[in-house]
Amino acid sequence: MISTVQEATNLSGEYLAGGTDYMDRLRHHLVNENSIDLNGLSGLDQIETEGGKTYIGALTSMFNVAQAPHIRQNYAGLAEAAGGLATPQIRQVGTIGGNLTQATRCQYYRHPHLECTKKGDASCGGRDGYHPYGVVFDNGGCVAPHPSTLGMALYAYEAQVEINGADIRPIADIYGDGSNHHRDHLLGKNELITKIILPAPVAEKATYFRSIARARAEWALVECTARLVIDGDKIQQAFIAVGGVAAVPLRLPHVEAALVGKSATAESFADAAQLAAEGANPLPQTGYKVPLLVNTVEETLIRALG
Amino acid sequence: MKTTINQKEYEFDLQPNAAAVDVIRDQAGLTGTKFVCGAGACGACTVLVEGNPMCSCLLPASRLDGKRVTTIEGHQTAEGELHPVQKAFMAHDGLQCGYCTPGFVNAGIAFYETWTKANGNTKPSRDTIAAALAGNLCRCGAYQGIYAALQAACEGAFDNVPTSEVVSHRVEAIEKVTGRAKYTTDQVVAGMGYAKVVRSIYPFAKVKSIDFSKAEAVAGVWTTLDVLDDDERTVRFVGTPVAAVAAVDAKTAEHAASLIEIEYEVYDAVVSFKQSRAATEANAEKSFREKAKGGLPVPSKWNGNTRSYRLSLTSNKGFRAGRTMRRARASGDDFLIDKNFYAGSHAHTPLEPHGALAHWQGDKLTLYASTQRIQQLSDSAKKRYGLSDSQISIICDHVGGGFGAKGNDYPEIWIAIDLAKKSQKPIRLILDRGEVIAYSGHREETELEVGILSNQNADFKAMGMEVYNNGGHAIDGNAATIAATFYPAWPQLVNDHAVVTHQPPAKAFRGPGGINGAFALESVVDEMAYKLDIDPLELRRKWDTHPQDQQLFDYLEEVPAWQVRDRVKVDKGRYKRGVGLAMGHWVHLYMPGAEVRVTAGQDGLSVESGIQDIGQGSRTLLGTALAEAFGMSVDDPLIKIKTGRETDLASPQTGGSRVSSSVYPTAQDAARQVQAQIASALSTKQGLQNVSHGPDGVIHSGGTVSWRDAISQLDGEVQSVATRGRDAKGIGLTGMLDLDGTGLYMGLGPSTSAQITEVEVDTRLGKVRVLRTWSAVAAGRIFLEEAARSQMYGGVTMGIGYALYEDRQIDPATGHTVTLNLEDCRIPGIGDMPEMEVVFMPEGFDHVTGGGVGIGEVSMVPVAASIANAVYHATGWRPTRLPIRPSDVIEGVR
Repeated sequence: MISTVQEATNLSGEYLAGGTDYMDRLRHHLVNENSIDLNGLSGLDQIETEGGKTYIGALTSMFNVAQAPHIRQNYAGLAEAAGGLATPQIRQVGTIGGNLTQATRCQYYRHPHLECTKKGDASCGGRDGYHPYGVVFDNGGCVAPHPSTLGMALYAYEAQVEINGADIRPIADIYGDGSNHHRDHLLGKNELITKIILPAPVAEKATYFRSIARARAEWALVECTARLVIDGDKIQQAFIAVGGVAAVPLRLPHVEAALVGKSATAESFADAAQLAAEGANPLPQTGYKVPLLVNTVEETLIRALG
Repeated sequence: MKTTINQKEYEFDLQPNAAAVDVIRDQAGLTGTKFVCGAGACGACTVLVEGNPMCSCLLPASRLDGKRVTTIEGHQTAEGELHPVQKAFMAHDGLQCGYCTPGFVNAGIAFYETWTKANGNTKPSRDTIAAALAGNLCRCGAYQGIYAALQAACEGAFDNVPTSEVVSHRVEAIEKVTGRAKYTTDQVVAGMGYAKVVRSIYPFAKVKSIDFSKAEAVAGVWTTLDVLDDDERTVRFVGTPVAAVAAVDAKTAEHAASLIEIEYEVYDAVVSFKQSRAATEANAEKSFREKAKGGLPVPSKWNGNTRSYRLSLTSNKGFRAGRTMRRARASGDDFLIDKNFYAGSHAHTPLEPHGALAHWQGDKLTLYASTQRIQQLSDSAKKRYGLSDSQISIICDHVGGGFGAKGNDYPEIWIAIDLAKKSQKPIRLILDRGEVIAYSGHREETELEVGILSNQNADFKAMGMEVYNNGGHAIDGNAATIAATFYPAWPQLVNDHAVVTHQPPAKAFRGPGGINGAFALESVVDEMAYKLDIDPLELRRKWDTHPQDQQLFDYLEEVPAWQVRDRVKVDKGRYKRGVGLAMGHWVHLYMPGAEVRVTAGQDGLSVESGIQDIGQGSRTLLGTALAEAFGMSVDDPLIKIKTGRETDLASPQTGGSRVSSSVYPTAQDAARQVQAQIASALSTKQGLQNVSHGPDGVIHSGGTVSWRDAISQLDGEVQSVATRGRDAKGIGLTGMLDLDGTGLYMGLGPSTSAQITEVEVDTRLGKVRVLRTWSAVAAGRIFLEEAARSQMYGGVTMGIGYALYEDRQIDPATGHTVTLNLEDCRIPGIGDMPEMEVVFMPEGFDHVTGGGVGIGEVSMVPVAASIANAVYHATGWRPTRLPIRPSDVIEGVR
């Protein structure tokens, strides 16, 4: 049993944390069967605070992230994201580190006979095929949106990740700009996320919301985390991140800029949300996601205000 | 690794990367835990680890090290008492086929413990339950019972009820809530091996050669087989079985299968519906279309890849209808509505995968198979392998759902038997979820062109319907034919066209042709009502004057939501509510030759038939027929029910809503015949005078001997086999038609239903939520009301999935099915369930033996149409495509 991070990162193979993504891909022959079981690493399933910041061990289950009173009180947008993804049974097993590094959910990826750049094929089979769950900010390669709900929520919290117990990077660095169509994240083979670092809490109105067809337990068509720091009735700061629309999670700085200085009203939310789709170039089957993106951002802002 | 499961210590040797579910099922032998999707979407494999619900399919087995695990088998106390949640599932019928039940019960127990700890014995809301059970899926649609069960259990309703006093509505409920029920996937024969099928990866190709050498060289491989069933060595859809391998374990079989090398000559395929409809006679590939199986034996003609009947089966005054419609179109008649509809494909995806376990002992075959047709499978197997009656035994005690997907002798059954024969070892072949969804059953995709003509007096002038059915490589589709039975008195011209494509063949799926035809027809009838400014219910009253249906309207008219409905809403609010109405028809089918045996002896009464219980409650139905005749309860220890095995009795397959009407009255006939024999035997033995018999027992001049006492005095056994026979009335031309070669007859008069649905449309996010449904059904006498009600709930549930979520998709370039799992094949979850009300109208079937017919199909027929009409009422936008996805709503409602 591996007991230190150094031991784990010196091995060659594929990391196995909760296993919810690994075991599924194992059945589809999409893993390195030489798994590096991280279950023996101690201390990585804790939520701690130090110097105002919050440190979430990468092996903390989604259930525990969602339930922890400290996270619920201070980082509601993250707690709700962790509690709103997948299913209760998966949230018990899956870890926050695994959620950030999970593989795409595109059908073409898991299908044994269809092409997918994430499997190493030269082209994306979904582009001329079936892609209604695809991106609306298309950059010409893989058409699947990034699957990590928590990655998206962490963009809104300007979180950092600790790699191999030492190296600290902004969350956005592990995903890049989405131009590498062969990777779900940009971590090297010997790089392991050990902690997630959240900045000191601020008094905020925050929430997470996903648009889906059914009531629950469905991959997001579009999802959003919104945080508003409000003084009196004026928005001082806004942090908006969205998922389901691009190869990587997106921050929406132009929406945020449009909110800052405005009153927290339905009108200003609607106006700002309009900007969410700026630059969208949807695929033939994802045109509906352009208005849905705008409307989901608006909905999330309204819900954040409560 | 040491683990405590159900308070027992286990020590396991783990294979690398083993999943918890495999260790629990295969090493500990606890087969109550089911493996369904393998992706965490359905929760059938849910177990409790330290009390927390986890999906064991995604849980590495190593995570169980040192842990305390509880599976479905572990909830009984030492005294045999069940957990209150298990008792509540039994009492509230929170289950049908039972395959999802272990997962639901485990997730439900975890919820119950958390809830009652925090809230005491209080009632949780439906929404709270839905959040806790969001990780479980039920394909039969037992959600209403599950809600009721968990609410009652949390309130403490079962805390002090001994298990023996729980009243359940199906005799095998206790086996299903404890994990004891054995499905085909759970059967184990000592020394058995595992098989894997190699399928065509091309939609259209010639198999030039198959090289088994590398596969056969793998250690642990027992045998390989060429299984391509085509005289031209040609495959015509992706997924055609080409080769198979049997090996010592599943992993070896899968590995060896990947080493079988198949050389193809690949041809240009016609994969898409559009492409195939455009094909002309000149470029049609003749052998392709001629090889397509299925279709009614009616004279037909081909044009390109489209096969059309030469005469419509159900048109009424077709010539006149056609002429009237043409003239109305030419003159631009104000009261003409012409509209095109599209209904997508969805997969049956029963939670128990298709599968079989074949075991030859000399020239005797024992076959475990998940099937909807034990008797027919037995006949086919006897013919195929030259077996006598005594050389075959089929075991199919429980079927984890079928919905039509197991209504044929699917090829994998033969492959398992052939591999077992060749290897001389027992062979198990279970399909994976992708194979179930892609190759083992789906509803055809249809394009429907409907026209309807009325006038200012709201008369029904004419209807025309042309339906194009993409059944893949099969002759399939009858939506127009069924639709013509809705308003049969009026002139109408209907035609079904089968469009053949290089896609896997469609299969009959609950209400085949009924539900898509109803969607199109009932949408235009609804639209005509608005055009005529008449209440849609009043218009149907006027056009459908049959007394059987008028009683449905009488009930629906009183539905509060209908009474307060106003004109189409055009308010600017975000959430728009509306109510919609639709009718549903299904033909009334039965098997005149169906036989049932009743036997009486000192040890009790038994009733026997070769039927199978796929979750609709047929076992309980048969037992109830016997018990009722003897004035007993079906739970009485004297009553024994023998089903799920092949027999010498002609027995119906499950499908087309034929079982109840075929066996219930027959069982009662047999029971009455046996009663006469008992009375006679008793009379002889005891020298009774003036002997007759009634429901209470044997009547004689000295009093009455109860049936219980009479049976206990029998010397030896008496028995009788009754045959259903044809109904006295209604044997017309259609009645004589043996529809599918299994002795299936069509009786007089359809089963009918009507539904009102209330929806809420979130116009911002494109979401349609079904709030309430009211279903009225006319199928005559209901033999088993609780099971029938559950079946109705199931039909409505499946209809909601078809209307709003389920979308089976094929990659157009390759012909591969894209939506291969339960996260992409989005079946409804418990949170998607409306409140449902169901009423049964008993009138209309006095001419039918037994007085009632089946409801499995008709339960689902009006659902999608009533939802679409409700969406129109709410928004003023009429959906013309199914499913109605958020993308459609966002684009439709501006």
